[in-house]
Amino acid sequence: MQALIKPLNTTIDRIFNTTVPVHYKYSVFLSCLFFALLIVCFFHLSLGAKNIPWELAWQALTMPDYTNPDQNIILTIRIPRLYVALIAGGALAIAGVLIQAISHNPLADPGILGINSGAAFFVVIGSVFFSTNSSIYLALSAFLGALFAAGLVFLLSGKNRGAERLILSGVAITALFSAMTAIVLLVDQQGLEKLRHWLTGSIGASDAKKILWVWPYLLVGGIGAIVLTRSLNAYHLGEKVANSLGVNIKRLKIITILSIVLLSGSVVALAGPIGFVGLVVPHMARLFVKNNYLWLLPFALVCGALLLVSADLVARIIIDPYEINTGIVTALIGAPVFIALVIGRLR
Amino acid sequence: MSDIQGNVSKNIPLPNFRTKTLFIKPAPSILLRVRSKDVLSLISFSLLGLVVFLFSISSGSYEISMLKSFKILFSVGNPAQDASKIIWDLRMPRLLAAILCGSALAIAGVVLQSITRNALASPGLIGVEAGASVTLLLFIVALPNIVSSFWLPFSAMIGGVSVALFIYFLSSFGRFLPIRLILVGVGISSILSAISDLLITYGDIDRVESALLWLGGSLHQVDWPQIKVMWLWFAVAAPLIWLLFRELNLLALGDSIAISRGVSNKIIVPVLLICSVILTSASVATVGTLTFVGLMAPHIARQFCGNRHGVLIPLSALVGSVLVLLGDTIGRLLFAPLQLPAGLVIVLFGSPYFIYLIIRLNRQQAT
Amino acid sequence: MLFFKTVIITLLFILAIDVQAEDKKIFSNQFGDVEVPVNPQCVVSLHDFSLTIQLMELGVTPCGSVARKKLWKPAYFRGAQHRFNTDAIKYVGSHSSPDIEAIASLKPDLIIGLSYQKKWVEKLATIAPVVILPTRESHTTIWAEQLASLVNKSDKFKQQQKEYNWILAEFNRLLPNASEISITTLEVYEDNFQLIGRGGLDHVIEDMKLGRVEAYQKAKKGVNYSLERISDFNSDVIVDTYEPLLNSREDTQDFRNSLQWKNLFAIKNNQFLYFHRSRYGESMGGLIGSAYLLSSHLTERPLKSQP
Repeated sequence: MQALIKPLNTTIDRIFNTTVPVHYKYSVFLSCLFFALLIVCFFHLSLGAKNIPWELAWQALTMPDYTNPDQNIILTIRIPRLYVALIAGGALAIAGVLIQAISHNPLADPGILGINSGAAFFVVIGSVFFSTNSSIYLALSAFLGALFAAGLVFLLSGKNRGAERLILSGVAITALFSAMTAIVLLVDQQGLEKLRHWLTGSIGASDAKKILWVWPYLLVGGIGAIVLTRSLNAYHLGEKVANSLGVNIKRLKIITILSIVLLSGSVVALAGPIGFVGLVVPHMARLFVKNNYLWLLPFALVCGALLLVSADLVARIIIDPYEINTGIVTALIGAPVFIALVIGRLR
Repeated sequence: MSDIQGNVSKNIPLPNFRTKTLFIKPAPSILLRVRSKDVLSLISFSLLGLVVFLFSISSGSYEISMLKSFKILFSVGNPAQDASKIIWDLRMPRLLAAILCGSALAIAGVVLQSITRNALASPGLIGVEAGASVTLLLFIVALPNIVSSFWLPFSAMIGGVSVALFIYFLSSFGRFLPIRLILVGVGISSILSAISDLLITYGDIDRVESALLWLGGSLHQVDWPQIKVMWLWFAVAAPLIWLLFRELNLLALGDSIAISRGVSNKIIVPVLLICSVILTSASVATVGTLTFVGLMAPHIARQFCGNRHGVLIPLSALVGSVLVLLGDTIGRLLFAPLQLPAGLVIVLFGSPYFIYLIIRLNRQQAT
Repeated sequence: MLFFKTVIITLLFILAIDVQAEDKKIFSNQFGDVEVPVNPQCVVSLHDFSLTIQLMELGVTPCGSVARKKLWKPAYFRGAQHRFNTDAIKYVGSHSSPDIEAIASLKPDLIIGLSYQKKWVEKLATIAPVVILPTRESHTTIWAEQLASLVNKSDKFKQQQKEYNWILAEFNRLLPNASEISITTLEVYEDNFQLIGRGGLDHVIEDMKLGRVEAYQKAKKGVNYSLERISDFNSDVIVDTYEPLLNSREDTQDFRNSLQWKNLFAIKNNQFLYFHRSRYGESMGGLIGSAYLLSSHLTERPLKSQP
């Protein structure tokens, strides 16, 4: 991984002479990425289980005609799904950046730290034992679960106990919650099929409805992240430095964790536990930006959306005419990256 | 203790990680020194196990009075009446499986926690369970009729072992690092679970149904032949691990110390790993996944005897079997005839205690 | 007097032996031979949606059956609950983990299961003879006949079969060109759909010799399809089912309002049938009921076919 990153970075540095202001460089990169995202989005709209000609996809965007059956598919099925993928990708990426920043840990991810599986477990428990299928309870139990798991992980890892312990507590909590979820699903009952499907991280057009009731939380989480950038930049230099620069470490940690919980809890409520996006994206973003959170966050946002939209695209077209779950694709992409990071970074 | 940690961190440079993470308190003891306290705790856990066993064998949905069940239990020559069938064919294999698998998982947990020097390591984390279940799914869903159902548990075991070996191989690029073992295990397990999700979703429904029955494997389907196989593996691997208690004591202190005392971690670590993988996959093949036991039982045992493996191994085995026995008994009685899987019960009752334990240990270390 | 007593006792003995000898028979099917009682008094069923329902239809109330259950709620015998009095059936756990001791405590003389439960046969056989029926491998009539012979109700089965065959004959008399009408059975979910016709529907369609569109014949059953592909299965008639327990009617409302759905030939021409998913089980009664439903819907109106 590192072998791959370094030459890329040096070439990037070479292309842009050091005399070019760094912000100018970053904005060019960001707009390139954004352009790539637009292209992938267009692919997402025009490719799929049903073949729809490019022109029609373009027309659906420029002059939407709901009476045309093909355009209707794009407008009512693919566009909502694209929105969900964009939002979920962006939110997971931000959560990933925050969690890696606050734990000083390149291997952290809402999935690996057990936050996703905690949220999923609470949702499953809610719908199996208390038969709450209503959407508000879903979001609520997802948040509760995410909060519970996050609290547990940080409790288990102890104070100032180093990055490795945090990851291990996360791994243990994930194992715990996913084992419990698997076991609960064994309790036989009608309607668990849907839950099983959801548990592997599925993005669908119908999830777009849920955006309507998670957007406030996402917004709060996002604003939290923006507010934190300055403190995070200081925190990156170490707790002592941050303290001397007037950052209230305790408050920083609490706000960060709450933002992470809000962001990843919302994504779980939206599309189920989708793993590894929060892990991979910060590393992608760091290919372009070193450690300036002011820039890292927008880069992560775009990269996350790009990654999840592409993963969703792959999930929709790889086994035509079926669609596989997006979470399966992100795991198959993300887990090897994770292993490479582990092997590369831990020497 | 502090200079030990200093040693470790000097020898294992971990960029990006702070290495002050030794968690299991190393208590240097080389010979098997059995204190009277140890004997006491061994005996009391055996007694506890016996009580739970006797309670469990005499209770269930089929009502047999305690007296009658003891009579059946201790007079083997009894003719085949219904009650004795219930006890010998239904309850006995189940209880034996609980005892065997509980101890197997606990021992595997001790080994993994000591090798990785990490309190949160457990057999489920090194990919054995994921490997076993993907193999089962492959042979039931994707390639049916290749392996007869008799050999399925065995093939699951081979799957589990080979995945674990692959993880070991990946994590020993350069040199073997315990933390890498766990983290690579996490990565591989995620890939495997994505694959099994694919198989479950896109396989033939009937086959998936029977595969899920295998995977959800719980104690109620265990029969005598399975017990025999499980016993065989247990009898091979568990004593071997116990014989290596001295090496485990040293390994728990750190690689450098172990090497300086003549423990070659190139040979001992793989042997120990293979033994614990065998124990884990044998119990996965017998009763399915019981992740939490291997994590928790060693911790409870350590409360009584510290980190002296000569005593720790048998004691955790006892604790593990009591845990699984209790979990299974509660699971089948609480909402009968609705059967709660033993694993769920263990997790529900065990995790609060586990969390309390870890937090307390954290505090102890902080001071 | 003594002589008299001896005679009576001997007679009783002979009778008892006679009864015992007659009591057993050998039942065999593709899953093997099992010695079963001729007249089982207490049957345990290991599947509610097929075996339990068929048993009830034959007039045999199983003494125990698996069911679906949430904690703190009574057991739910899917498909049987609303048609029969299930009070006498004892709940013995779920189809994937039955409480074997609860089964044993009923002292059954026959246990019936499905092929995927084969791995328990050995264990259950210590309680009572265990028969596996090919509910998933064969047509309902085949395993239902086996089940009827097991519980000594072959007459009742023959009645059911006769009624079913009559509906089929009547259907084909009224609609001689049935194969020219294409029909698709599916279940629409929120983000995907499956090709599946529960409650005997797919067997009935096959027996009625109704046509299927080409895509359906090639398609894989029991797999989630993308909703975008629903127009591939644009047949003359479409049958979907709703499950009130899962709110499926409400959850799929958005899709049913969409142009994709409304453009389907069957929807446009009012040839869409929306049934209750658990109305019938996979049983003879399911075949009969679904056949009546289909034949009254299809024969008693002028059907439009796609050009």
